[in-house]
Amino acid sequence: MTSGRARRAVLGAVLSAGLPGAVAAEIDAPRLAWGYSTLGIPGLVDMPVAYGREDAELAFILSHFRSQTRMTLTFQVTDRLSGSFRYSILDNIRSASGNRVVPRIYDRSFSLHYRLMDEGRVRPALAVGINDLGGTGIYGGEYLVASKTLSPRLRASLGIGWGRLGGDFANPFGVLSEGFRTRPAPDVGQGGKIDPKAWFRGDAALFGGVEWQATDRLRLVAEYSSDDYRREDGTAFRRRSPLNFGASWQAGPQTTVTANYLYGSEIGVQVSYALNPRRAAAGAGRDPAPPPLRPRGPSAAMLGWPVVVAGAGSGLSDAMAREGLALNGQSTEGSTLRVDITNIRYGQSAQALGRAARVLTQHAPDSVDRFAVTLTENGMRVSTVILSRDRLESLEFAPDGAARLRAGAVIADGGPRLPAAPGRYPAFDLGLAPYISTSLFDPDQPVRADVGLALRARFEPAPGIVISGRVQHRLAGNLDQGDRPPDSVLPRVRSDAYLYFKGGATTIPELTAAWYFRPGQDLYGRVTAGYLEPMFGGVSAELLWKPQAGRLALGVEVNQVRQRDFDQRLGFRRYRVATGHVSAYYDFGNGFLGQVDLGRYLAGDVGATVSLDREFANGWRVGAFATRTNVSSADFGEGSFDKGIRLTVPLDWGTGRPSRAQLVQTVRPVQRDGGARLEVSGRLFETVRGAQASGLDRSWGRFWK
Amino acid sequence: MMRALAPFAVALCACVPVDVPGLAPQPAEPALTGPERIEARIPSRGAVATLGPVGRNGDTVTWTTADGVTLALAGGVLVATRGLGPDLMGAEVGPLRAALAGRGAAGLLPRRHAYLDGENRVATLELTCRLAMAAPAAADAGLRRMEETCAGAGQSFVNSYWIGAGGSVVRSVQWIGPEVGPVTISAPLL
Repeated sequence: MTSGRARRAVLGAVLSAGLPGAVAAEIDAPRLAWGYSTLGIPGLVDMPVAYGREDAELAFILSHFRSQTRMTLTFQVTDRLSGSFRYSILDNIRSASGNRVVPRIYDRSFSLHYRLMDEGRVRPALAVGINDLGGTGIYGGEYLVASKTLSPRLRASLGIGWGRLGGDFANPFGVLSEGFRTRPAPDVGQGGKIDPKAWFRGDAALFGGVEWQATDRLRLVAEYSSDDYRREDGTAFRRRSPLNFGASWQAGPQTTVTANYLYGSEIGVQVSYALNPRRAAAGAGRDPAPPPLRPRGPSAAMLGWPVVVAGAGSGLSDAMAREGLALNGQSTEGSTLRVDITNIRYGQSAQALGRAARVLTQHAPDSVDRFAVTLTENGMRVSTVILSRDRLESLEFAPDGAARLRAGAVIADGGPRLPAAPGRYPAFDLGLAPYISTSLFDPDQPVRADVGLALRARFEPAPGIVISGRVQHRLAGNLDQGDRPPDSVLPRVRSDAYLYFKGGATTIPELTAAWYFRPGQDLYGRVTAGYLEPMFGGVSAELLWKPQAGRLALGVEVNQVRQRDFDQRLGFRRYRVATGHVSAYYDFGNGFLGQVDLGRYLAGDVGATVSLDREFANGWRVGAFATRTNVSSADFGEGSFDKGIRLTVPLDWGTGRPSRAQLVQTVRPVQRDGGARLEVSGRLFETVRGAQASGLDRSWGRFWK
Repeated sequence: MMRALAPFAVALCACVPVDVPGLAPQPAEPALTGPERIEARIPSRGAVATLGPVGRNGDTVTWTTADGVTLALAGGVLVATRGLGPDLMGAEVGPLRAALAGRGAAGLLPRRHAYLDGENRVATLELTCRLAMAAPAAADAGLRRMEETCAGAGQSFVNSYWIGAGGSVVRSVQWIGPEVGPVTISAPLL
């Protein structure tokens, strides 16, 4: 049933356009592109269209024809803007100067596609795009394109391209400025820079095409391509004609399979897989039902409820544990029952809070009329939510119950230290689980991976003190097959990674003792010592100021670390560094979260990192970051500066089973030694934000789930 | 462009925690509070289950299956589900209950449902319903059958309630939501 819903969304433009009434109603609404081009941009075959995809759609597009394989990850960042990261494998391509043939190259490019104008009754949609922000890459080209829906199943597009998409006639922008007439020769250098000097310059050309949604599943495309494949024609393949034809089949709710006939000589295939983080694969989640509320009064007695006195025995602890909650402490003050809990099971703290409230109604004596629930993360009492028992009882089944309950609830910073629940400390937890670690975009092989077993242990002798570690044993994989002696002139803080992969099958990636504490109102503290990450060990200290509901948070982190031995056991190498950052976090309030870090990086370089993430209440995050430091592009090496994209996927989004686990993946075009940051577990911002008022409010609807 | 000789690229922390440490035992079989049982069928899931009572809040009784799916019935009218995935989070069915009981004005009966969307927001579905006595059919086994026809926000459904001699709902077909569709509830089997 969820798949049906997702499919409706993918085909939404088609289906709604098929209804006569809907056409008039939606004529001014932005329309969605019907497919992705071979470059992974909303488009025809090789050429773009002016439409965008559904807001927040995340798509992976794999496209291949003779000697070219393109893998593109495209995110519809906003309704109008999409961004792509592309990794291409190109065989038998001419070098940039054109005088020799390179058997294989790997090209990485970032693209942007922005819809300037929505389609109207008469006016077409209009978009602008840049296929390689570097401007000097193999796909370096820019375009302006207009698209118009001619009938619910027929659309036409016409555009003008520059760079790789140009070349036929003098640049019309030449009338504005002489500088537009010639495109500067590629100044490749170390690549990876944003280089607007070349954008929209040089000779231009026209492109265009039509697409026909023949049935709800079949789409046929014909286009005139202005891409002359100058570096591929004659070596990689023969470009005999500018005409391309494609047939796309909507194979499933998220999958489209396309066959193309390209340039009069080649057959190509393409698979596009698109999902939308806003629509969970498993809907709102197949969480087992929560316990029902026990209202006070005679009806409870009639049902034979055991009247349990709070504080008597471990009944409350056990009941909380059944709901995936750890009871840290409890006390009764007059008619208020206070509990301190830690959420073990739920992706969203609001759901943990709701479950705790239900359990409390069952266990608290009828004389209690208020619950004060403190949410604790790593021993830090983050927030306390005060709930009226009357309102809980009256709103259990109300359709607006969550909102009305929130209106009557108070969320305060921190919480009092309560008498520890019997048997809570010391706590010991051990887990054995498989792991996978990956290396993406190694030039010898786009994906390398290791799989193995990880034994994790966690010991909490007292609230806020966490001793934890992980031992990993590799069972299979090829991460150790990379062999690239680094050419870095900086301290080899990250480019030695391949030596760590070769270091041994059984490793200790992490072994630390940490102390988490609340130094004051809105303040959080952490001190961590030990083997902090696979490559560095030492001491890390952090202080975070983050009000319960404020948009701004500030943090400072200082670390004194030393490089670890390649075997990732207990020894160290000689390199030491003091590294640290001052960080500002800002919640823009529309799902976008910005972060700026200023400080000293692992190689001793000084600079700043800017990050922007779009995040969803269900825990999904899609973001990008870039770091500039006082390391020159030449010293940094390939890529010129550190940058990348990152994805966080909550596991429960896919499985529908409640879980706090998430999959985090960072993709960098190149990992070098400049702008590299230490990795430390338990950084405070991510640790506490979900249990703060703003985090609770973001997913408050889950209170009753 | 990035040159062919790119150095090693590494994703440092790409560990997939397949299991999370949990100090929690899995939920035990729920403790039932009475001997009554109802049977529920959800055709879209191909599911049939017997449910027993686990809680009562006012006149709303929460019934549970052995594997953690609950239905909350207020005077036989469904007001919430849990454990199904796209659950009915809550419902306002006061006018319908009054009309079923023969109280209140006939005519248009408002009904409101709440669901959770993929971003944890409460999505409210406003419906307008009509309640009418259905023509007797052989399958009614002599029971009075009322039909509630509802529509709103692109959704429409018909709920049926079979009323027993005591005026209570003894059997019903009720719509849970757009994804799950209807549930058939046969009430109390003692």
